[in-house]
Amino acid sequence: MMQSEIHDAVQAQVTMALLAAQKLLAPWATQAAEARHMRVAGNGRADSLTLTIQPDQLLAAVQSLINAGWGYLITITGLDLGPEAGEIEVLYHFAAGAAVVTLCVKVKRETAVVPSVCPIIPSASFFERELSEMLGVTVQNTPNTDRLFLPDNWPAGVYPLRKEFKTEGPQPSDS
Amino acid sequence: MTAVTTPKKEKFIVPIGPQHPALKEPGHFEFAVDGEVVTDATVRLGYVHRGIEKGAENRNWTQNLYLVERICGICSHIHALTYALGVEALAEVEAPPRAQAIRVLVAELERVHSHLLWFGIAAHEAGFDTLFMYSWRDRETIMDILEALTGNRVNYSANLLGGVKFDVTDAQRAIILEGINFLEERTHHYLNVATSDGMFLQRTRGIGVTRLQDAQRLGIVGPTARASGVMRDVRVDAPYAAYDAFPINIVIETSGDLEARFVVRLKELFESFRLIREILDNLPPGDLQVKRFPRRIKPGEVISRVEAPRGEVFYYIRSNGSEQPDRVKVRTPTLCNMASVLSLSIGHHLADVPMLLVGIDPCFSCNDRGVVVCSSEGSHDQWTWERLRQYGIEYYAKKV
Repeated sequence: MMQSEIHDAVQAQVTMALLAAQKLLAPWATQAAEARHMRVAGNGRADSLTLTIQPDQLLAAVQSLINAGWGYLITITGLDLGPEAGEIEVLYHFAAGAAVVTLCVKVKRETAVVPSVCPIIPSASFFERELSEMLGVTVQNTPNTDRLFLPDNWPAGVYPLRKEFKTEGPQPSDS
Repeated sequence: MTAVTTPKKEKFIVPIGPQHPALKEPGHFEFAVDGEVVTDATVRLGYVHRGIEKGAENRNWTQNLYLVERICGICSHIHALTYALGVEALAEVEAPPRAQAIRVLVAELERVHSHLLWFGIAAHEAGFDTLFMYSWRDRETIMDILEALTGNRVNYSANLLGGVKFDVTDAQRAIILEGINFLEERTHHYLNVATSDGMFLQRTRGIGVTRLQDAQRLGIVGPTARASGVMRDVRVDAPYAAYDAFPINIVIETSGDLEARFVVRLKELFESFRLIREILDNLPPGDLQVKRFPRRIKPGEVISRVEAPRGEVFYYIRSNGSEQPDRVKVRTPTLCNMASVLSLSIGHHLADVPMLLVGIDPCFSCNDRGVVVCSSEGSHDQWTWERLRQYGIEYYAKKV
């Protein structure tokens, strides 16, 4: 196949997959008008869909994707929007071929709780352990709450990927 | 290091780790065993967690290119590439076609070095040290090529934001082709050994079988997934850089055992050799980099996915309009595949654990010392990874 044919074939797959995902997720997505464009680095294809989901609707939304056999969970990204915004976003990235669907769950920084998706996707356990230790998001019903990356003597209640956690910036290693 | 006691039967927790000099990074495993059979497994990572995601928030867009290249010593180019592609998409700058082709060239050379490195380690864990030495000797060919091409054996630093740093000269082209011809011949030999040597097959055939359904359920990526019949390869599914100009054929096996993981990786080498030749013969003309890359990048979010030797690498990058990223999230393939080792080991013999672990090509490791076997009476016995490996080799030697 020629380069342009491959590009077109992938673009067609993406368009179909995103349409299917949009249909599947329509009952659970809120603020459909909120156009949030998450670009995908992929040779100029338009291939991403980002939807905001209420925390209590997350499991239903994920279940509808899994039931339809739509893609797989790439990872979970925790995103601290900072003390002024007062919100943490938990992004669940799914991919089917070149198409990426991101479910965005917004929670308050002080009361950051999301349900565990492990009952539906058991392999999410590592992602959820990372999310809770790095950003201080409580993951309800997650099977394992042990630390995954941080050391045992890491102080409780200190979350390195929150914006108030400051590092000194680039420094020589012996300073 | 808790001991579990069941009536009349001793059950041990075997902690393995965190040190291992053969593989790149440390990790800690605890395997609960009932006699020979593993009944439960857990993992603890993070011994070399360097806070790179946080560090990225304190560095500018260009500095981060050098930071992320140092996430991994084996697939360093892949991290720089994933990051560069993401940042370029955010800045709406596209690297010229010649640069994209050279990026793919280096990525495939890196895949060859990584797969040969893995092949040697896997042979070593199986007690086949001759094979280990041959494959690492041959791997030097690719290391020399990478050094001739980029000046470095590791951390080649081929990428810039908006292009690459170097061109391929005719002399380099000749060195690469000669090396590839030699390695292709050797790879035929290795494929033959991995599929016909009786001692070796005893350690791989029918061991650690992951069915297609389980591979999908566990979210496995890369060659480990393709060995179970999962049609998943970012180079094919979502071509990036020059992969739509130089398409790759996906390599699939269906048996899902350790042997299949060997076959998939070795067959992928042939695809890499083919692609390297094709790129060298059809290198697009033009510039190596864009004229100008902005210091500040307007606010936005980007997802960047690339097929590393071990599977999909995922970056999420967010800009708030400044000279530094607001967030860089990295997900490496080993994290996805680790869960499969834990679930696979259950029901297998302890003697199979080294091979099961090495079968996913973990980009981090287990250990060479400080393995403690803790019995229910509280008596401690020091085990090393070396001892576990030897135990595995002798266990199978007795069965011959």
